[in-house]
Amino acid sequence: MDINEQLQLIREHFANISIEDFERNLQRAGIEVIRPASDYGYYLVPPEDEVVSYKTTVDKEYRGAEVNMKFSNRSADCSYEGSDSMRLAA
Amino acid sequence: MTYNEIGYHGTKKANQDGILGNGIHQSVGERHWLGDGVYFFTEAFHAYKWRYDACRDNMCKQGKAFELDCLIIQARINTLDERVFDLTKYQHKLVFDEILNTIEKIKPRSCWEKKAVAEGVAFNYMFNVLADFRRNYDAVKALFQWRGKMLNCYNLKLSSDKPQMQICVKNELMPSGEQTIQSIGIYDHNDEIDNLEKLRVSWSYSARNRQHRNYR
Repeated sequence: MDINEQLQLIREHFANISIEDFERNLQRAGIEVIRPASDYGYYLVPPEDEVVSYKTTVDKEYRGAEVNMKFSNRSADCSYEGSDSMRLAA
Repeated sequence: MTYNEIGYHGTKKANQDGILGNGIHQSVGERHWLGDGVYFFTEAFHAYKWRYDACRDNMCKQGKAFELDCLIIQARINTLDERVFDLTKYQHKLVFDEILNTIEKIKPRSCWEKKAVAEGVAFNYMFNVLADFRRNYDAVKALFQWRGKMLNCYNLKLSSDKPQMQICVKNELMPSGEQTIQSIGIYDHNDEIDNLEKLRVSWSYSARNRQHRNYR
């Protein structure tokens, strides 16, 4: 199964599922039990997000608000803002 | 191509006979980040530290003096390369993100609204609900990085976060009928306990050091 088939399978599944079945599936998957790894200080971060996270963190913490604002504008153009690592690191 | 990797699993000494006789039980509980399965680290140190932390936390809760109860099981994880869902590969990460993000977006506005979807929930959804994943993959492999709760300072381009590779075996048998977990035995860590302790102390020390630097 190649990546397109996998993505297709996933999208079809979620497009057709009823909310009741989805809730049941979430319970089966352990949503009430399993906690995110980040609760324990571990992060599942892919290498490409790691670089983004590094840049944004450095800008925020060491280069001051003005530079940070400029970077934010740049990063918005590059769609960095929505990355997982940003969400996790926030 | 064959996938062969030595994995290390930390547990209590009392589990020795059960594991050697019947194999390793699937992990359950709040920390099974890669979903249901049999967990291994690719480095013995992490299995040691896992047990060390568990013992420390348990003794602390019970108000008892610390005593290390550590058994490290070593096993060979045997399957095919294409049957490992490997999150260090971009394509697999993309598929995983699709599932995690979709669940996050459409999860019901009920008691789960404010709860972040854990990685393990997405993996269980993949392997227990979307049956094709269990049919196609025997194990999940992922690299975790430890930052500590307060750490977000990066001084190196190549992140100084500490890596921890984990493998979660989902199917005990390959489609050919071969065992996925083979050659289960005891890993004698007592010979290198000094080295493991040095690594453990340095792990904790560097976390404190970086934390201190952040607040200066």
